[in-house]
Amino acid sequence: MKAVKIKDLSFSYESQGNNPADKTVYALDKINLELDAGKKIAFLGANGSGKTTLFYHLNGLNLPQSGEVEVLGLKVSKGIRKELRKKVGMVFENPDNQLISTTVYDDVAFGLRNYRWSEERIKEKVHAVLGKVQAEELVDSSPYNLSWGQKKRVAIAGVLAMEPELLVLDEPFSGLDPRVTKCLLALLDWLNSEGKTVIISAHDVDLAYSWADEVVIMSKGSIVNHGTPDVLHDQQEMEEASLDTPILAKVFQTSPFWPQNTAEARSVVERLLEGQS
Amino acid sequence: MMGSNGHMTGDAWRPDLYSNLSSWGHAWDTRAKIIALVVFVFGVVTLNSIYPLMLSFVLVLLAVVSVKIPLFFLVKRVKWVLPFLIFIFIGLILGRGLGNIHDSLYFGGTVSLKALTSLTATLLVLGTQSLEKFLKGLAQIRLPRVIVSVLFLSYRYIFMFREIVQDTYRALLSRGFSNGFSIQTLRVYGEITGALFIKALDRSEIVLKSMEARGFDGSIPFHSSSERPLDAKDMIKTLGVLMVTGLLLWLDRGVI
Repeated sequence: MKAVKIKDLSFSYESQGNNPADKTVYALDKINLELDAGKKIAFLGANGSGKTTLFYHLNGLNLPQSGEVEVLGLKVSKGIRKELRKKVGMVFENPDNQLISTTVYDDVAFGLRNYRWSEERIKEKVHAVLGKVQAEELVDSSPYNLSWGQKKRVAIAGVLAMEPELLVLDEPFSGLDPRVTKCLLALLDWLNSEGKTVIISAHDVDLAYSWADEVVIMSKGSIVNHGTPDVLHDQQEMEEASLDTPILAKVFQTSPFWPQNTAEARSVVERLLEGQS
Repeated sequence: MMGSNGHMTGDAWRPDLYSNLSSWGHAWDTRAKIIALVVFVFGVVTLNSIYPLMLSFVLVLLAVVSVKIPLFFLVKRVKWVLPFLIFIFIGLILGRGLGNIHDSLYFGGTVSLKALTSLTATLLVLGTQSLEKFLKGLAQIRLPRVIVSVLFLSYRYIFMFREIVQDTYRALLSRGFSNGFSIQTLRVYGEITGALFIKALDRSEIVLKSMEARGFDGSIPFHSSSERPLDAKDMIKTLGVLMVTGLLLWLDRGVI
C-alpha cells in the first residue's frame, strides 16, 4: 500500500523581493512521487530544495496549487485537513515553534484536546508517550526552560500522542548531541517496527544512508532521485544536489562491497584481512 | 530583566510563580475569584475619597500576605506602574498650578491608590493559580473564546519574543555594540525593533502552522472536564469580597 502518492505537484511562493523583475519562485516543480507504507524514508537536499514545503503538503498545511497529493488514501484538500492531521503527525525542526502550553503535560495534551479526547484517556496517553521519549520527569515543567534536546523530545511526544500512522519529522536531529540522536533513532526505529511510516528530512547523508529504507534526493524544487540508499552512491548527482556522498560509499566505491553502516563495513574489512592473511 | 551579558532572568517574572502554594486564596475557585476581582476593582475605581481607598489598599495588601505571596514579588511588579503615577502627579500639579497643589496631590493620591489597589488585587488573583487555570476560568465565565485564545497566545508570545530579543541582543554585544544614547545607538535600537517585530511575525506564522498540524481550529482547547463545583467556602469568600466592596462604597458615599 502507498502511504503517499504525489502527482504533478507544483507550489510557489510569491516573490518577496522589491525588484519587479523577480519572478515567482517555484518551491516545488512538478513533483511525482510514491512512498510505500511502513518504511523509513529520508529526504535529502540542500537548504531551499523544497523538502519542508513538500512536507507541509502531507498534512494539508499547504494545499496543492496544481497537481494532486494523496496521503494514506486521503486526497489532500481543504475539507479533510482535520481528519488528515489525526493520521499524519508532523514534528517541526524548531521545537520552540511547536511548544505552546504552560506545562509539558498540557502541551502534549493539546492535540488530544483538539480532538475531544476525555481527560482520563489524555492522562494515560500523555504519561505513556512521555515515557516513550524518556521525558516523564518533565511532565509538570514549563516547556520554555527546557534544553534543546528536552524540547525536541516533548515536541515529538506531543505528536506521538495523537497516534499518527505517518510520522513526518523535519530535521529531527539538528542541534542534538550524539547520545540524544542515538535515542531518537532508536525511537524512530521502534515506531517503524510498530507499523508506522516514518519520514525525515536531513542533511546528514551518512545518517540517512545507514538508517533509511528509501531515500529521496531533492534539488531546487524537483526530485533528483528516489530509491534505496544505493542512489547516494552517484557522486556527480549528489554534487549537483549540493550533497556529499556518504563516507562509506566513498571509501568502498572502488570495491564490489557496499556496506551501509559501520558494523557492515567492519565485517567487510575483517573478511578482506582474513582473505589476505 | 536583561543583564549586560545579554542574559534574561528565567521564570522569576511569571505572575503564577507562587501558584503551587496552599492558602485560602489558592483554594478559592478560579471562576468565583475572577468575578470577585471584577466587582472589587470596579468598586475601587468608583471610590472618590482617599480614606476608603487607603483602607482598600491595606486590605488587599493584607490579603496578599495571607495567601503567602512574598511582598518583594509584589513590589517588583507594582513598581513598573510608579513612573506613570509620577507623571500623573507632575501633570496634575503643572496643569492645575501650584496654588491648587493640595487638590492636585489629593486627586493624584486617589488615582494612585486606585491603580495600586487594582493592580495588587489582580496580581493576587493571577498569583494564586496557574495561568492555564486562570484562562480556563475566563472561558467558563463565558468570556468569548476568541479573547481567551488571544490572551493565551499573547502569553506564549511573550516567551517567544523574549527569546528573539535575547538572541538579537547577544548578537549585538558580540559585535562590540554597547548601550548608550548616541545617534548611532538610537538608530540601531530603531532598526532592531523593526527587525524584532518582523521576526516575531514570521515565527508566529510557523507557530500557527504547528498548532494547525495538531488539529487547532481557532480556539484553544482547555480541559474538557470542569473544575470541582463551587462549594460553600467559595461562595463565602466571594460574598465576603462583595460585602467589603459594598462597605467601602458606603464609607465613600456616606461619611468620609
